[in-house]
Amino acid sequence: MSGSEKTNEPDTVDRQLAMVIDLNKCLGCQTCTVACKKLWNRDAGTDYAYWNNVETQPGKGYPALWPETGGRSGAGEVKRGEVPDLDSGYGRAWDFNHRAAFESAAKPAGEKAWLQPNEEAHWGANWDEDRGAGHYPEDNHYFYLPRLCNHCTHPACLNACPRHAIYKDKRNGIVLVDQDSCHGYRFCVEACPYKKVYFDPMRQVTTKCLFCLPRIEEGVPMACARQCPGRLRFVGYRDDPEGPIWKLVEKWKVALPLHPEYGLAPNVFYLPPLSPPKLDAAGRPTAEPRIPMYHLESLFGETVGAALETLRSERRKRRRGEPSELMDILIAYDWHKSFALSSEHEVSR
Amino acid sequence: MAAMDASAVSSPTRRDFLKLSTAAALVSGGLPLFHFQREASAASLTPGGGRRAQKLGSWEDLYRERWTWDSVVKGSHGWANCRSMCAWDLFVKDGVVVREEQSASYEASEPGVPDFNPRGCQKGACYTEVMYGPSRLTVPMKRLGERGSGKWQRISWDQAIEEIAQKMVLIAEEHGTDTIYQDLGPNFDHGGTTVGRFKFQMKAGGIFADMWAEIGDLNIGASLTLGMAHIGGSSDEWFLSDFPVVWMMNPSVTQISDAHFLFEAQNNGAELTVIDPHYTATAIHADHWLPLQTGSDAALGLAVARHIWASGKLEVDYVREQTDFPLLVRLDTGRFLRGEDMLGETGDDEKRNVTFLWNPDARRPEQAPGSEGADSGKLVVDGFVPPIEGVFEVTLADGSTVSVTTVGSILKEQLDPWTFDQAAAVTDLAPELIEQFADGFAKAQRPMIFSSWGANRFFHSDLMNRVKLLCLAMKGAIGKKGAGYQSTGFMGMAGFGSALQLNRTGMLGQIELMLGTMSASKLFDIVVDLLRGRKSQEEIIFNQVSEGEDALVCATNVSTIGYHHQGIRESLNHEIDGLYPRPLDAYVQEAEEKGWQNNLPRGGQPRIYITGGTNLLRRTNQTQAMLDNMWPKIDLVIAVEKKMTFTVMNADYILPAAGWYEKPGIKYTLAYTPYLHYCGAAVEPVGESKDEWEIFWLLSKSIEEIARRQNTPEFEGCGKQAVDWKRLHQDYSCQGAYGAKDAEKVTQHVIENSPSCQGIEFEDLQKTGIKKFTSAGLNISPTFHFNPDWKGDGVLTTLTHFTKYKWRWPTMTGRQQFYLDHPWFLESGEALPTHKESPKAGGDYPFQLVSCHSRWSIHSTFRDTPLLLRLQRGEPVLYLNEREAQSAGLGDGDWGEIYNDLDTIRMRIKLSTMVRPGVAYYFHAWEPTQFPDHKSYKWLIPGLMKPLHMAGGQRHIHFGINHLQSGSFVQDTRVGIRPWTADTTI
Amino acid sequence: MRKTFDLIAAPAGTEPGDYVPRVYAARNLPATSSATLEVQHGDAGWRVSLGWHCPDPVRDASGNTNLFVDAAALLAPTVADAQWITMGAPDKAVEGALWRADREELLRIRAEGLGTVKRQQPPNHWKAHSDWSEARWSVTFELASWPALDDHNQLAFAIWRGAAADRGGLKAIVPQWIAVEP
Repeated sequence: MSGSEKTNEPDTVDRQLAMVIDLNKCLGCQTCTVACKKLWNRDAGTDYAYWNNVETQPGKGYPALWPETGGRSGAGEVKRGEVPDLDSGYGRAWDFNHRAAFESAAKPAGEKAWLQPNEEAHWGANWDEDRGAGHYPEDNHYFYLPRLCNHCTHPACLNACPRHAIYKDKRNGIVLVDQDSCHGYRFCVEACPYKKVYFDPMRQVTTKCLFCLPRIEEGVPMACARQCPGRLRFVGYRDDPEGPIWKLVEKWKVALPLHPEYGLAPNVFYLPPLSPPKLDAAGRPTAEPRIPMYHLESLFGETVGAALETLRSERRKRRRGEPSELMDILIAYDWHKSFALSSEHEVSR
Repeated sequence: MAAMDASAVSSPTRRDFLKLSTAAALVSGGLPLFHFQREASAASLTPGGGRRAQKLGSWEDLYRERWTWDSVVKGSHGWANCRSMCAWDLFVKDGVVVREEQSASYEASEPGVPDFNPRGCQKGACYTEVMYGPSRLTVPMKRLGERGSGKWQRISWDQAIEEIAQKMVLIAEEHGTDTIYQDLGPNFDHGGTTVGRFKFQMKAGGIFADMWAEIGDLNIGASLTLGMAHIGGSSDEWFLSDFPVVWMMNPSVTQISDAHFLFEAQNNGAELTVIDPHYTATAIHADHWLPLQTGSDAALGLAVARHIWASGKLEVDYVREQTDFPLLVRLDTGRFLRGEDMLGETGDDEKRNVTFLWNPDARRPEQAPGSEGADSGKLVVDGFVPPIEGVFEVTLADGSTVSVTTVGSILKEQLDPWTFDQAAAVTDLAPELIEQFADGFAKAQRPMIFSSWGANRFFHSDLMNRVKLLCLAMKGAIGKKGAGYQSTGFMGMAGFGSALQLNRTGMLGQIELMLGTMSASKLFDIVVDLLRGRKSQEEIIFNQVSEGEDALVCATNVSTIGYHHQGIRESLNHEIDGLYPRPLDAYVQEAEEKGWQNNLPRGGQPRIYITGGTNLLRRTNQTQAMLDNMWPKIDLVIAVEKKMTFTVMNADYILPAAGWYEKPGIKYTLAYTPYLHYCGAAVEPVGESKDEWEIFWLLSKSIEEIARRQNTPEFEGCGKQAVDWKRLHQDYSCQGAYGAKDAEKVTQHVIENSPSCQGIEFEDLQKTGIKKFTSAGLNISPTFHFNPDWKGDGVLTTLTHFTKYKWRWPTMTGRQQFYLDHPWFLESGEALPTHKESPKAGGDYPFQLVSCHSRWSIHSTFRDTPLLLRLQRGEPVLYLNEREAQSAGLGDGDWGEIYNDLDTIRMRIKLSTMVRPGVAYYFHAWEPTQFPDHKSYKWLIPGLMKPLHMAGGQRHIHFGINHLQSGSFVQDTRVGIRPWTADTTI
Repeated sequence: MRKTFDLIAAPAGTEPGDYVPRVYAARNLPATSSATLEVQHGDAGWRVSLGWHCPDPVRDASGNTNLFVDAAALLAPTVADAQWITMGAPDKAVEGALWRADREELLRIRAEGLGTVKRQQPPNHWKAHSDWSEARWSVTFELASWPALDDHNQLAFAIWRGAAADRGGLKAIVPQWIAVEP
């Protein structure tokens, strides 16, 4: 095994590792979030940070209002982004008053400390959980959107760093922040329209999702993917025609990047969410899905309608008892095959 | 250029950074309770498996180092009271479990079905946060000052055990041993932990208070219809349904490891319907969402049942054979035509309850095979085809003539009004939506209904579940692969019962055990029954367990104790005043007079309460009444616990228990994943904690010594068996065969004596963490699979014992029984499944207070875990519909005052479009400590008791652990809500 | 010597990458408009004091993600007339001392062009004292030995005002080397 080989020229990577996330199977359980957090970010400076988060859409997202504060316009034009505020943008990792609460049980009413954050909480990584939009029961709707670094082919963060501290690992296209070179200027935090570069104020450097590089080096899938009980993540290389990524992205064209209009060519793709039908004013089912198409198009681009139609028609095929390669992949009969990583480094754990 | 010195950049240094990361994993937001020293001993029990990162001399080494460990142990979360089992790798570094990750080593059950991998949820992925968290208990403590004062004194184990033993002997001498109170769960594993806890309770002559109904998990509708409360196979069977209907369940939240099978079924062509007042995390993926009025589910089902019949989709042959549709009912009394009617007083007493079918050829009633007292234990009818509809004249033994009809006819008549329009008027659904669903259901090949433990929390949940079962039965779906009813199922672990009861090891112990539950003549009868084919082996075991339970276990239930001692009797009578012909108390009295219900302890209220893994004061409805009335009269409260809870706060002694990664265990064996899950001990118990087997070993030893010293006379227990504390420890330890540190040996005994585990080598299991069960096990309570064919291969479908092999069901009629002719049911109009309005509990207020299990906790475990609270809002929230809340002047994050006739509490409001207007929705199990003034929503919930659930006297209508008992229903509660802005006390 | 200098905004347009030049090109006013420099050289080596107006000091940036600390740097060329605005060039390094309001110790810095600054442990004898009062920062660098300055007697400085999100190339600088006398 050798270490990473850096490249600042994104087109020169040997291979590009990618992920597909099937939103039609997401439970919103946040096991991915916890798996990531437990493994990588429990320090005083990163305890607030979720390299992987799951947000309820529609909603402000995490960090709050990230599409508005990102470093790109909808047309892909570079614009000045913001560094999110720890309180209103990310939400702090609140501490709690367990001991005070436990010890005040016998105090008179009004004087008991109750177990709560030590500070007034106004925002957090999952603050909008299950909130949604629309009106009950006609068209209320929401869905879960897991987000992590897109390991873009043209990363905005990489181009934003005046110090060339951000690079792609030539072996797999993973976008990394060299922790030794970073001076914590946060131009990358500003520039990433997905707001997936985080500043560690204790160490005064930025950090970001590694696509679990140390695991990938050993042929083990990322914690967020491997620990996902909903089985919605597929991992592999873009150029592997036998792997799930190529089939879902290139062949079936059902896996779409988030905000393609930013022009960064993400390598995390999503199967867009289907939803139960809207009801009309009399409560009768209509032919229209609950999640409005304009919202899905704003997230996944104009081809989202075609992707949804493919999903629907392949499901119908299956209902008629006909075979469907696409549905076979999404069912993930043999879950281990959702991960097409080089097997030669596979470690037995 | 000089090499970078990383430490120059800022403080803390990189080295500190690594230390910090370990510390953060340990402390997570506060000092661990109490006096906890972090240098817990290392000792990895399973050596090997370490991983070191290669140092590549680049900055990435910082991260490579984090993904390293000294050893990895196979484990799980022993008595996490969740409905999943999942296998984990526990990573130990420097003597600390630093993280956990799913083993993901399951296989697909059969070709064409997805595998189970990886299983596990976000809570299991961070149990280490509880293990080393701010609520963790690690040293024995004794209360100082008033109970609940929060002042504790650290004491030694010796002192704690000695003092507790002395007090227990004194209290037992004064009040009897049946004042020792433990509830049966929900802290339940199948290993040393629970064997220790239960065996002590049993040998000490204490009472087992079942809480299945009290917590609202008991499917009484299923007990009344099928004779058993828990029905469900492996979760991969879900994949095979073409019409799954999630009807009072939320798998995305409560079955995180299994939910994928539902969504994968959609990819396989299934049409998923979710019936829920709320747009749940499961509903968002459905093909159809039916947003019905809260509590109107039975009305919807009745319209479906009517449509199945009206559209010619009734599976006539199935209902004729498997259900009570063809059974005859007297029109004059409404009772089944019985043996006592047809055979007269001279008839065989055993045949008193035989029911009858109409023989259209001979034009006379014939004894229904399979019914109670019938000659055949099988449902096969020879020589004629009994009609399911019709009115017939029958001459009784006394010569009189009566008109009889079939259950089918009565049912059809009762279904007739339930048109789509009628159901629409009740459910608030459009008739077109109901019709679309009913038609899909009627035409489905394999309809499957998911009706989980959460489906049992309405006063009339039994009616709702009886209707759901009716819809399935009419489609022939119950006991059919890929179809039927999914509430939940368990794999049999008979070795657990054996470990509990044994007084000595070896064959002698086993013989004692058998003689303890069965007389020689009884044994003879059983052999004859088997030979004559009157009963199946399954039925005999089923009956035997139930009878053994009656003979040996001092069983009652938590609701009954509450009714008698909590000070809520008046309130509960008032709540349902007028709903039934007589007041609640009259039903209680009749049930106790007739021996249908007991009232334990015999001499009054409980005097010794042992809590552990359970959290009575967190979950009791009308907690304020419990704290005011019953709790102060308990002389001794002992907490055998690993973490601080509201109940522990109100205890007298804390005995710190080892956590799940610190002792061997078996994750309790639900059928969802038909694998045995072993919980390995990854590290020694944290601090001074000890596993429960050892704790009760020490306690029984100390008690025995005192009893011998004082020559304490035998106790009466609860009147069933004499209890001698002079042998308490000998019996507990099987005459010394099991030592204090033998939790693993006890666990091994359970496995080796469980038929479902035959062929599983214990040492192999420890290495792999999981092993496929080799059969569904004996059908002992509560493990009702009744699939004799399943030997570890294929999806685990259920109930084929009845549908394929035609053995009778464990009901009075031996059939899926929709008609209950018990006098209480007849007089209240609940003989057949029907719809009744949800009573307004707590007063007539605009919001219905509805709860759901949370994705964020296993009841109160994980509820106060900082890492998870940060992914919520850090404190309890009450969900209100966005529009409705705003019109009531309540904004997101505002404080609300929630009130009804019982009390007033405060909670943060969270707005959501998910919630149905008129509902105040919450995810449960917040500790009272997390609310202002330590008053939770439980202060507002009366906890209704339904009188009919105390009925008895029929083959399947009788009190039983995990079978039938009075509950404490929560979902009918009504509340008002107003903004709370003033900083005032309540 | 003691002298007050007018400062300019370091030109963002020439910063590496395509983000900073684009979005900060218009930022042509310095966040700190002037500073007073006092240079003394004696037995104890170089003693350089900087003073500037700062109404909103940021001494600690560890409490939030979007805080930037106040800082100041002194630089000298290692080769005479190494370009100052570009932070030197390959083989024409500039080097000096970085003071950050959140640290007691100085950092030694060295660069061979924009985006190449390396931070290093300073020599033991480098010390700094700082004081903020009456809306002014006063920072004194005590550098017992600084061969680059000894050799070329050219000095420049930069000031970052944290409250204005100055960092990296976003800084106020003197436009050219200042000649100092030994």
